Amino acid sequence: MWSLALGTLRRRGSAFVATFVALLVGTAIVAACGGLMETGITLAVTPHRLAAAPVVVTCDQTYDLPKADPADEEEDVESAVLPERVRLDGDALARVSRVPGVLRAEADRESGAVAVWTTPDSGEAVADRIERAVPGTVALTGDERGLAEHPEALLSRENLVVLAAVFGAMAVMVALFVVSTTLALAVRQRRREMALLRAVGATPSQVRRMVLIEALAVAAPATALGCLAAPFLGRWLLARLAGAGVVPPVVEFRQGLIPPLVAAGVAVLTAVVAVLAGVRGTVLARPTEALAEAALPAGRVGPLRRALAAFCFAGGVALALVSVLFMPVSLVSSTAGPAVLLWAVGLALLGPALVKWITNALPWPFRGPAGHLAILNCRARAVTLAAVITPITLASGMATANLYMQTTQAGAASAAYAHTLRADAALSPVSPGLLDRVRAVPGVEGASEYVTSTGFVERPHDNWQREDGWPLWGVTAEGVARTMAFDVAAGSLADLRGNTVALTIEHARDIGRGVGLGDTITLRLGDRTAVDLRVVALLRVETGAELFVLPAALLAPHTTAGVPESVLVSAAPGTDLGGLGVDVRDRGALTAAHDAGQSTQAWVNYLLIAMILAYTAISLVNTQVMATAQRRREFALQRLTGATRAQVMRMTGLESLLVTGVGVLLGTVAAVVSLVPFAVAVAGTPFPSGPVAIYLVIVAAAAALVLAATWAPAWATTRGRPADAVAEV
Amino acid sequence: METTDAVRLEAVRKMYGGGGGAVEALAGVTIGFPKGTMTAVMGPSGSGKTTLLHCAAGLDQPTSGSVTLEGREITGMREKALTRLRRERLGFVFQGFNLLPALTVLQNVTLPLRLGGRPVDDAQVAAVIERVGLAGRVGHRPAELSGGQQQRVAIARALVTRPAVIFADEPTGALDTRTALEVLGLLREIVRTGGQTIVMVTHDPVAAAHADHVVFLADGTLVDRLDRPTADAVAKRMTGLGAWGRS
Repeated sequence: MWSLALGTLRRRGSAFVATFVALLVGTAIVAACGGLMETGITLAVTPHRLAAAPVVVTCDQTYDLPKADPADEEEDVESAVLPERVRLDGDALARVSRVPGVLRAEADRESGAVAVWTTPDSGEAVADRIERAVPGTVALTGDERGLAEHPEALLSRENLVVLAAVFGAMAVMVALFVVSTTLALAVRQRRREMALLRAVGATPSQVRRMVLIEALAVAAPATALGCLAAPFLGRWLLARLAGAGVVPPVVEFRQGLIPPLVAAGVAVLTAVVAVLAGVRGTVLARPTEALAEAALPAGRVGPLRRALAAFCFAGGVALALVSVLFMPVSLVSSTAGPAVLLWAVGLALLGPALVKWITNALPWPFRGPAGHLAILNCRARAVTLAAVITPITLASGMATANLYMQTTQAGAASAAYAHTLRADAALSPVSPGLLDRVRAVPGVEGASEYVTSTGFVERPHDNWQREDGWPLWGVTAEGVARTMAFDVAAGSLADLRGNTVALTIEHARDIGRGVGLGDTITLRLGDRTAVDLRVVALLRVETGAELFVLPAALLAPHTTAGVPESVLVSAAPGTDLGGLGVDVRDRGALTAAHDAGQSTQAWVNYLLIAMILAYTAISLVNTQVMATAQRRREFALQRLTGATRAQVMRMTGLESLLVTGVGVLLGTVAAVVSLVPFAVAVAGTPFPSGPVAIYLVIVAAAAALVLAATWAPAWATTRGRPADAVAEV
Repeated sequence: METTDAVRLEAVRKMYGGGGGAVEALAGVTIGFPKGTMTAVMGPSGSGKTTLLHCAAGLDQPTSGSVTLEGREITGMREKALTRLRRERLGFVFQGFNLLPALTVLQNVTLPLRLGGRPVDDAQVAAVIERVGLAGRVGHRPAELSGGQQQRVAIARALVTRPAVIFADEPTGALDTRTALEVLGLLREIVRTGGQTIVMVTHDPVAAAHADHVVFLADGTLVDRLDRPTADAVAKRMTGLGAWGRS
């Protein structure tokens, strides 16, 4: 069996190129995602200023969310990362110095951390002792020490891990599909060969073993190469993520053995499952059926595929319902993304039947002999076409859904921001006294400091709270009404002085047994400080836009910067703010900056989608090249019966357009059924927003790809004399 | 009589498709193929001759009736047992696509032995290849051989397991007259010297004339029989059956 399988591989290597490439790229992507995940978990940041100290003591940046019932030991404690730098207590330096084993301790002014020198080899042990002796501190050693200089890297951990997990899972699903279609095609092309084997005495299990060995012989080098390529891909991806601001550039790429091993395992398992599924029909069929001359497989969809498709559709509907009914707006994309994948896979599973139905049912606008032949071919070759249509459906569906999700979300956020912002300009940097000087400028109608952070509700218990915390806005009571458009339902923002807070009306109803005006809540600010705040106003906002508004004077000292980000100004036209000696950004620049902030996130999305699309495109091209090259004799026969080479090319071109049309149609269906609930949840209308050009580009790109992948091999296979091609066996 | 039959079909019926669209390919055929003889099965296109061959060789299961091979009932046998039987007791030669393109002549010939996990007796394999006249060609791949040579490789492969019966489906269909005569001579020779049984489906009266007996099929039933045939006699009977088949 081994020699037979390997001999086949050597002679018919081209049939396995697609599988090889698909496995290589799939392994590389999955392993790179694993690397990103490991990078996030390890979070290695090389220390610079503190590099000389073997141990660096900082404050613990983690925060355990309060439990619903503090006495309940069963309840899981959720842990969050505090977004602002937590400062060590004044006596921390002295206490650390007294810990046995510490030779010397020195405070780092810039980061607030304490650098500790120990005897060589005792770093770890001393670090443990410091953490025990001085509660609330974290003693970092090795690569972790850099975190003291860059605590913002901690915040990126979760983003990086979640991003890598989501993207990796999607890559696994896509790889499963791409590899199984390419392998299935490779097996189907050799249907007669396997029938012959069966006729001369190979048992079904022998045939199965042969294709299994073939698949493994292809998978082994492909996954090995993929694993080798993974670190480069991972490093490149991390650099892109750093460029987009998702991860601080100081985080270093770390990838051990586990990600490539897992990726290789997934790839090999995928290949094995795919080849066994692909060969099932061929092996079970009696040899005579397969030896029969008309080898075009029928466009039937078995019960297993139908059941899987139904499962996918049910999952898609469930995700749509969840996104509309339960999800906070910020998380809707995490259900809508998988939804489109489920729909696309479901449609692809029904591929052969759908393709047959569509090509039969639709009146195609092609005329002339080439058009006529193109339609007949598409009807007859439904199963082969389905293998080409599947990647088009996946790619166009995912591209359409994800890109329009992005534009819809960005559009909604931009509109909301523009709606909330009433100021005409923003001034920065903020220094003490700037607010008063701004107010004194003639023509200024109102000014408010502006600072943002993240905080947590400590008391009473907040059931809605997650480890992301809540956005906190710091404003100035006198100027907030002129610079921001809050819809106040009760109370007044003018009372926002001292230890006070405004929150949204629905959220207020849900905290504890419900809080109202005059009640006190305890918030944990970004630097772990707990403050008791009296509720002075209730705001009306759309679900998902919950926030707390605090006096800027209260909030700003508890941020890493320590001062407000800017002063928002609303002024009469023509007011000259240039004399203040600070940077002035007008309203247009503010919304543009906000939109740009949104688009860095979008950029990450584009990058990941682009990678999956490129992957799908590889399989699409390979599948189509294989399918076209296989029709050498058919083309030759057509030319012998009087078709010109131009007519053959025209026919294959029209077939490509048909194939693209069907694939894009199915992809659009998958995208629309995921986008509509998304738009309802995010923007409150069933219509996603965004430029039509995106869709047109997707369609054009799909058509160009299929045409190129069809014409290149068609041109090559029709080059020689047709009689030679027909004479071949 | 029955004991000397290598293969025997008893009231074999075979239906294709179901419901209203069912087609009866064999309508109750009873026939024996005596040991050590060569029998040609003839008939117009669609008369059921290929179906008869497939049922007789256990490649396909009859709808009803029974097939015995060397006295053993093979209808209702499980696929795995049938496969083993094919591998050990039967040989096949088809019209086209007979060889695995990835394998050399030697590898193609020894394939049934290796599939059966049997040791390859080099001397015996060499003798078989010698017998079909391809001694100098063992390292070649099918694409480097002529049609007649490819067919002789297929015959060598069919012979290598020393099968009781060789089934040939239009073995000369894709060959020119001279090469066809060579292949037929080889088959004849095998029956004469090796004592093997050959069942050959053909539409060529010249090919049929090489057989000991010719049976004629039409619409799924046996309609005629000819012993010690000549090409002329076979051609006349075929014309009598009506349509000239081209399968």
